[in-house]
Amino acid sequence: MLAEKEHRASNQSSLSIKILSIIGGFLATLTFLGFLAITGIYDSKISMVILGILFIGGAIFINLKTDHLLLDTISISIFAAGLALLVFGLSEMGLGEVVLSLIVMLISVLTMYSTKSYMLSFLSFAAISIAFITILMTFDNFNLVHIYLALYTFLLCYWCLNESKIISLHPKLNTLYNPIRIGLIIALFSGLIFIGARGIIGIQFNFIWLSSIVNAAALIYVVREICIVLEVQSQKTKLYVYALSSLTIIITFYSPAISGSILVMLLCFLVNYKTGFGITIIGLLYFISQYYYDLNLSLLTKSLLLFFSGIVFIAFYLFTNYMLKGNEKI
Amino acid sequence: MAQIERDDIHLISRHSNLPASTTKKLLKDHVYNDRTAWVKFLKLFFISLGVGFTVSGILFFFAYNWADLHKFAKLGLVQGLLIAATLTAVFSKLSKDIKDILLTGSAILIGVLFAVYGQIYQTGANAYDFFLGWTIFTVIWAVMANYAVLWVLFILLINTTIFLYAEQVADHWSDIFVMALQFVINSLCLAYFLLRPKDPEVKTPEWFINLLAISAVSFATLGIVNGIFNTYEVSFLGLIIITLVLYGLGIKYGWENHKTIYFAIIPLSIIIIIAALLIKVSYDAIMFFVITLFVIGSVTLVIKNLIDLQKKWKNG
Repeated sequence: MLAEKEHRASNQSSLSIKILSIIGGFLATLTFLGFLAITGIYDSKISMVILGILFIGGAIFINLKTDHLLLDTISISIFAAGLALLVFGLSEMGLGEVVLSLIVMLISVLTMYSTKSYMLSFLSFAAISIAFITILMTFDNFNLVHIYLALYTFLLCYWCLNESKIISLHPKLNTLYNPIRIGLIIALFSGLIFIGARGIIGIQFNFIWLSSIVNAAALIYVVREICIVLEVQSQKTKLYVYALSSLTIIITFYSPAISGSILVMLLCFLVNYKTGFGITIIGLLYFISQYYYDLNLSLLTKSLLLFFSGIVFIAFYLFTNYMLKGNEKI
Repeated sequence: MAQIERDDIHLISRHSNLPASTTKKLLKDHVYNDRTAWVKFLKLFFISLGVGFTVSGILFFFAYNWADLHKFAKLGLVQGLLIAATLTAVFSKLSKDIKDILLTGSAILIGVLFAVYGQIYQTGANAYDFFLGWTIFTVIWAVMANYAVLWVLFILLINTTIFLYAEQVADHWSDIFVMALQFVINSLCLAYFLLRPKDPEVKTPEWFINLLAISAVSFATLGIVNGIFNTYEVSFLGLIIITLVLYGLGIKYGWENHKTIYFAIIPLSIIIIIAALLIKVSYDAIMFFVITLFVIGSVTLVIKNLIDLQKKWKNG
C-alpha cells in the first residue's frame, strides 16, 4: 500500500494533465485514422476488424501491468482508433447497429474490468453510454431519450451518495469509482443537451416533462440529504424547504435540462466534487441560454416563468439568510 | 498530520478491510462540505439564480417586442431597475458577494437598455455599436465591483465588439489580423490581472486567470493555423513575432510563480501549430503517420514535464 501511495504521489494527475492527454490522444487518433484512410485500409473490411482488435488488445495490454500517466496519450489513441476501426469494419460487413452496440458494450466492460488506467476506464464508460443511446435510437422514437436520462440520473445519484459503500465493496470498484463518476456526469449532460437544446432531435415537446418527474424525485431526495447536513430539525423549517423545492420543480417543469443541471450541481457540492461542479456551472449557463431559443413557449410565457423563478430564488435566499443565521440549530 | 484527501481515503479503503461506515465517517469529516460551506454556497447559489432569472425574465420581456407599451415606459422601466439594483449594491449593507452579483445583474441591464433603445429608434440591435456601447458603459461597473464574473462579461463584450466590428465595418481586416488583435487584447487583460497590485480583500480567482490564459492562447493558435493555410500577409509575420514574445513571457511567468498551466497550454498550442505545418508540407500517408507519432510523443513529453514540475514545486 505504501508503494502505491508513493506511486500515486509521483503519478498524481491534475485536471490539466488529464485534459492534455485527452486532447493529445484525440488529435493523434484523428491523424492516425487519416493515415489509415490514405493507405486504403478502409477498402478491406477484414483488415480493419483485425487491426481494430489488435489495437484494443494492445491498449489493454499496455495498461495491464502499469497505469503510469505517461502511457495515457498513447493508450487513448490506440484504444479509440481500435474501437473506431472495429466498428467501421464490422458495419461494412453488414452488422446492424444493435449488434454493433452490444459488441462495443462488451468490449468496454471487459476493458474496464481488466485495466487499471483511469483514462481507459473513462473512455470505455463513454463508449458504453454512446452504445446505449444508439440502441435506444434504433427504435425511431426520440422520446426514448427520457429512459436514458432517467437511468443516468438514478445511477449518478446512487454513485455519488453511496461513495463509501461502493469503494469499500471491492478493490476493482474502488479504482473504477472516479472514472465512472466523471463518465456519468458527462453522459448525463450529453443526454440533457438532447432535451435542453431543442432542435437537435425531433423530440416531442409534449413529453418533455417525463424527465422532469425523475428530476423532481431525485431533487427531493437530495434536498433531504442536504437537510441532514444543514442540521435542519424543526418540522416547520422542513415544510418551508420542501415547499420551496416543489415550487422550483414546478417552474422548471417544462425545462428538465435546467432542473437536471441544478440537481447535479447540488449533488456535486454535497460530495465536494469540484470538477463535476465546474461542469454543472457551464451546463446550467448553457441550458438557460438555450431556453431563449425554445420555440414551444411564447416569449411572454418564458419571460413570466423566468421572472417568477427569479422571485422564488430570491425568496430562497431571504429564507436561507433568515433560517440559517450563524451556527445555531434550527 | 497533513490534510486527509479523498484519494487517501480511497487508497486506504482499497487496501484494507475498513468497513463502509468508517469510510463514510472519514469522507464526511474530511472531504464532504460541512454546514458552514453549505450555508455560504446556498446563499450565493440562490441570489445568483434569483438575480439571473429575474434579469433574464425582464430581458425576455423586451425581446417579446412589447409593442403596446410606450417607449418612454420601456426605457423608464429598464432604467428604474438598473438604478435600483445599482443603488442597492452601492448603499446597502449586504455582503460583498451579494453586491457583486447585483452589480453583474445591473451590468446586463445596461445591455438591455441599449437593446431597447436600439429597438425603439431602429439602430439595429445586432450591429457592433450596440456591443461597443454596452462595453464602454460597463467599464465603471467592472472596475468598481472588481468581481471575476463581471470581468468575464466585460472581456466577452470586448471580444464580441471586435469580432462584430471586423465583420460589419472593417471589411479589409483579414481573419489573421482580427485573431492577432484579440490575442493581444486578451493577453493584455491577462497581464493586467496578473501584475496589478494585490488587493488583500479581493483575491483574483485562479479559474478566471486560467480562463483568460486559455482564451489568449486559443486566439494565437487559431490565428497561426489560419495563417499557415492561407496566403502570406504581413499581419501573419506580426502575429508570429508577438506570439513568440508573449509565449516566452508566459513560460517565464509560469516558471517564476510555479504555475503549471502555462507549461500545459503553451506547449499544446505549439504542438498544434507544428502539426498544422507538417500537414501543410505534405498530405501523404507517411506524413499523417509521422504526425501521429509526433503528437503522441510530444504530448507525452509535455505531461512528463508537468509531473516533474509538480513534484519539484510541491517539495521545494
